[in-house]
Amino acid sequence: MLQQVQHQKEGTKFLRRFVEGGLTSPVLLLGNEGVGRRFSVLCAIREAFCEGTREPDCQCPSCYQVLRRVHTDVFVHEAGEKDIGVEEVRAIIEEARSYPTAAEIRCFVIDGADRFTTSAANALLKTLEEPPARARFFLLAESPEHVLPTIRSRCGSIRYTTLPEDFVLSELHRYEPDGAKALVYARMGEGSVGSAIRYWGSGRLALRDQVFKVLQLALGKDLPSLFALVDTMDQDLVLALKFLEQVLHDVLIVRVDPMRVINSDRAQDLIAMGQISTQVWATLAQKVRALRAQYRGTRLHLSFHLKTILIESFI
Amino acid sequence: MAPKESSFRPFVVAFGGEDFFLDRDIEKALQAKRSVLRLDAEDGLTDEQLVAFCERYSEVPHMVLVDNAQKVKGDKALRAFIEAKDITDTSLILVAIIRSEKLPEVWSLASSKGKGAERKKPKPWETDAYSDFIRLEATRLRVAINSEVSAMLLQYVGPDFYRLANELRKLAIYVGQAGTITKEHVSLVTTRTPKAEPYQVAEAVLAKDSRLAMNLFSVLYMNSGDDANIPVVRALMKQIEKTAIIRSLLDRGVSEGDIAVLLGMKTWPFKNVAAPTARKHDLRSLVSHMGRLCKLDADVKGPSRSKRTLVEMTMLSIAQ
Repeated sequence: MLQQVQHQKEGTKFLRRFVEGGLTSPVLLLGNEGVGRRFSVLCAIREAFCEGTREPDCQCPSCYQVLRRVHTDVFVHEAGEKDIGVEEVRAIIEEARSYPTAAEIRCFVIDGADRFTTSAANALLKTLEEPPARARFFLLAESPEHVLPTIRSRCGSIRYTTLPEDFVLSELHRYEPDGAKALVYARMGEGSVGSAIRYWGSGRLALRDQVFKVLQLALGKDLPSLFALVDTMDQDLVLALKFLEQVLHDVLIVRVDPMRVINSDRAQDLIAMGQISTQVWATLAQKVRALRAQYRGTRLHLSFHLKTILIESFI
Repeated sequence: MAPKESSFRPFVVAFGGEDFFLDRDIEKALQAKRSVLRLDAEDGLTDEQLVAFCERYSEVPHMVLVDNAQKVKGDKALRAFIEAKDITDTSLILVAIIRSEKLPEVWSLASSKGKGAERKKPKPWETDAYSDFIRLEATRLRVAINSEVSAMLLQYVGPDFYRLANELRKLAIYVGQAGTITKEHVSLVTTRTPKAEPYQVAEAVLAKDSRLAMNLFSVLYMNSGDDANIPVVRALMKQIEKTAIIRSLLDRGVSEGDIAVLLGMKTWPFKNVAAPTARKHDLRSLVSHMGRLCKLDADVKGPSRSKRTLVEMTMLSIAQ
């Protein structure tokens, strides 16, 4: 079943060892959301637990349960809006100490190893160092920098690469018949099928268009409309900042390499914006990137920060 | 006055965010002529222990009063106890004081089998709730107070039931039984609490009245401590955004009346407060102040030390 995973050779090779019973230590799967980390782990678990043909279409009880996430020995824990706290980790440890009920081992997939609170991470350390004999841990995180070094050192790491554009596009074509739109969504996903499909599913081109509008209002120095529009984007500001970074990337490269722009459907607007000094756009792009990085650590008043960097650039 | 035995129910549940009324509920419950066992779940109490206390044999009717009942650990044994309890049997009364806006399910069950009351904390601007309280408290203390004096007292003391009750007690002693509290009595007897709101600080800063801004911030800090920092920064951001919008529209030659309409403000305060404030700044300086506020926002929400000093320094640099 691991053969279903595409373009992630390193990950597949590593997980193959788990399927064959040769991997008992915790594993840290690093890579952007939607590049196939969770999918490949679940494929590996399914293959390891399979009581049937071990083919992707196998419908044995074990495969059925893993696929529908109802297997009693497979635990998938996702970080929600809040970080993973110590209570959640204690519950996981408690489960890890119990014997498996249906399979020979219990598997714990924790999506958000970069989202543990300090006390939660400390609570998990001992278990990761000496995991119960019948427990296997798979920790998922976006980048190693945000995972505590003490956790990182106790896990074997697999790095998942971003997926090729052709592959993301071919997956997206299943949902979006319009080729131009599919291309934009695929590029917005930045090598992640999951993100591209999610953006498509929630119609995020509308938000991207609002980002263009915000830039145009800032260029026109129309403060009342600019502030009002940024305020309406309040719920989606984090994603809007990501799109803003992509638009700024496009503005900077549209004249030198138009084939690489993400928002190819807005090429005319990008060229028009590219008339302004590159220095202005580069500085703005740098500020947006810094704001996105800073926001991760502290709960900033994001809309005010965005308004400020926009008007600082154009007034 | 002690409550009548006939009105007793086996469970009395009071919950909500207003501690004053919950404390009053405790006082009232203690007036019942029963042997009372007082517990506080803050010290650690499980539902099994609580049920054991309730089921302990007693020759005389008794009462178990548990404060901070929202913190009782577990609910299985308690639920079984409540479900099994005969509502006509008042040999035991379990009084639960829940200091939380949300009523836990098990206590909701108890409330449905007995008596329940919500003690909601009114918002500071819901003055009617405070005025009603002053009127009722005055009646209880057998003194008279009219609505004008009541409003004055509220303005002096602020929206705090404990302080209002204490000041009323002082006033009642001063005017004597059946006396009438007047404005003179209030100004003579009541200790005035200086009040300041974050938006007032922000308005003073943008109006470049640094002395008033610092005084107001100091009052705010005295009342709320470090908790004052984030609201003040937030208010400064809001105020500076508004000022920047007004300034940009004034620069474009839009009339004051039109700006007031656009911002949904009344003409008088706009012409006499908002517009003159905006004229004290130019757009470029407002933009640089916005940059300062961004840095301050990160500082007050981060691990910086001396956050108060950082807020004050930014306030002064804007007000200069």
